[in-house]
Amino acid sequence: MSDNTYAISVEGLSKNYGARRSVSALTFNVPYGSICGFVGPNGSGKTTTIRMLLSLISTTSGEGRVLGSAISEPMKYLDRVGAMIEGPAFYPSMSGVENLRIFAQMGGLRGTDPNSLLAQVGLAERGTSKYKTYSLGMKQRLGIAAALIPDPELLILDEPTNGLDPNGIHEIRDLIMALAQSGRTIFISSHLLSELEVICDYFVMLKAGELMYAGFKEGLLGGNNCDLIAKPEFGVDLANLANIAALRGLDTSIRDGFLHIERAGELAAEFNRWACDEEIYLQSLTTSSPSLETKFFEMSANQ
Amino acid sequence: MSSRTICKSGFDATRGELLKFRRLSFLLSVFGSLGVLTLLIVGFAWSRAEKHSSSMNLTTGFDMALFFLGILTLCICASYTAQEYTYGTLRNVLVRTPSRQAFLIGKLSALSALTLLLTLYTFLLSTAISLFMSGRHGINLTPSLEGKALLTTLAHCLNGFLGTMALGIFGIALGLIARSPIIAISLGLLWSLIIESALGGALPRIGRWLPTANFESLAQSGATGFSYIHCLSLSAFYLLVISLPALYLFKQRDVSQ
Repeated sequence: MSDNTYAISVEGLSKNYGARRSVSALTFNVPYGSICGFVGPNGSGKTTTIRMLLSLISTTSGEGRVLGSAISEPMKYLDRVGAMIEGPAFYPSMSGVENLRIFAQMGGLRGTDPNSLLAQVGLAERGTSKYKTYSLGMKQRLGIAAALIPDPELLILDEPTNGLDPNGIHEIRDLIMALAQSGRTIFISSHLLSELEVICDYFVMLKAGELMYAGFKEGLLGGNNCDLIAKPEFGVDLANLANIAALRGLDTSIRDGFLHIERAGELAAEFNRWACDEEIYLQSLTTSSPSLETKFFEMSANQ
Repeated sequence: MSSRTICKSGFDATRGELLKFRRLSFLLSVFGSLGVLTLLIVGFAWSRAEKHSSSMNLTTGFDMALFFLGILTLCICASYTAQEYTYGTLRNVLVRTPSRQAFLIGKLSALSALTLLLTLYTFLLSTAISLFMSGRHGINLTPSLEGKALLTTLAHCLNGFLGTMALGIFGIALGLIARSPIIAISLGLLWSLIIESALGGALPRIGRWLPTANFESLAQSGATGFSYIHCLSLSAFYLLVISLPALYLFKQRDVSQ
């Protein structure tokens, strides 16, 4: 495990609750500066893993490093980590400013300016309102503001869009992308795969406590290895076009007047040339990557 | 973790905890209700006293008000500890103050400071009422405020704080065990007001040996047949018995749930 390349690095990390194994021998790395999507169905061990990374629970076996320090020594890294775990949690009868001031004081960060944190998450105007009067979106924003108190190198957000309406989701997405621009590593768990697909450049996928995938987005969603979708100028040429691809060993299918050629994204120019040689001219030629959701279900089914 | 780091974290946690008390609504409700209760109890005690009675002294009213102060402290301590679980704020705190020891130091120190303030407030208020009422009953209390008697009076106030804080620690332990303010307060009141009274009534011999009664004796600088040192050591024993499982559970439990 390298200390300098990865913000999070775990090897063989496991957690048992009695006889039940919640997380099973996880091994993955999260590079510095990435926005990492932590994906998995309910009960897959995401929150348990986050709890172990934050030293809120002990590990059963395995080891992990966060910002270069072992998770068995949380004092060495927790002051550089900001976290919102299992949703925002604050004192309801206190204002946003008061809540942030308390948490900053508790962490020994007396110089923290709660108002600037609230401005950063777009809550400046409601800073003096009591927490219990906040909407769900505002509560999530305050949760992120609290996570930003130590000006963290690593931000861990567990379900930051949970329960939000589409507008709220959009706002949180913009906020996370803005935070990522400052060079922070962001580790974000969510069920909203379409949102993560937009935000993240790195993914760690779990199923039933086991690792399904850990790596860059391109590696997961295909990159150049995506499908090719072609439509000839004349519908009658569709079968001939399929033959051209099939003769070259490519898997094809015809759907709704389009020829789908699997994993042929990088052959687009060549395929166009082969079609022209046979005097078939293309009306459209596009590539199609599987969505994160499609890929997730595909990988889940294969496991 | 070094003891110096724990002390620094504990100091930071204490300051953070104290910020929670700096709310007008909280201060008004706590000091207001305690003030009214003290006024009623001490006023009632003096109104029933006979003229030139020797049974009334400067701290009689304070001793009576201490019972309610103890119950109030138990409720505040249990509630302020358990609500960290119900609000989920404990996990927020612990990802900033990694040491659970520091968190507990902060909680205990801040609640002790609040209890000290409440005890002093009750003491001053009950003393003022007593001085005011004593004149009407032809009782001179000023000797209690002079020389050696003043030291005894102040020592009585300090013991009042110790006995009240013992109930506060009992409340903190219940809060850590129950993890719900309502359950923690209910358990505390059930034990202190009902179970102990019932046991004391059924078995008068053990009555003064029971925890809450013993804390009360400590607050009153000892009781008939029980020396001050006896009350102090028995209180320490009871607090140890309740604190050990509470600390064990606090250390072992997953605080993020």
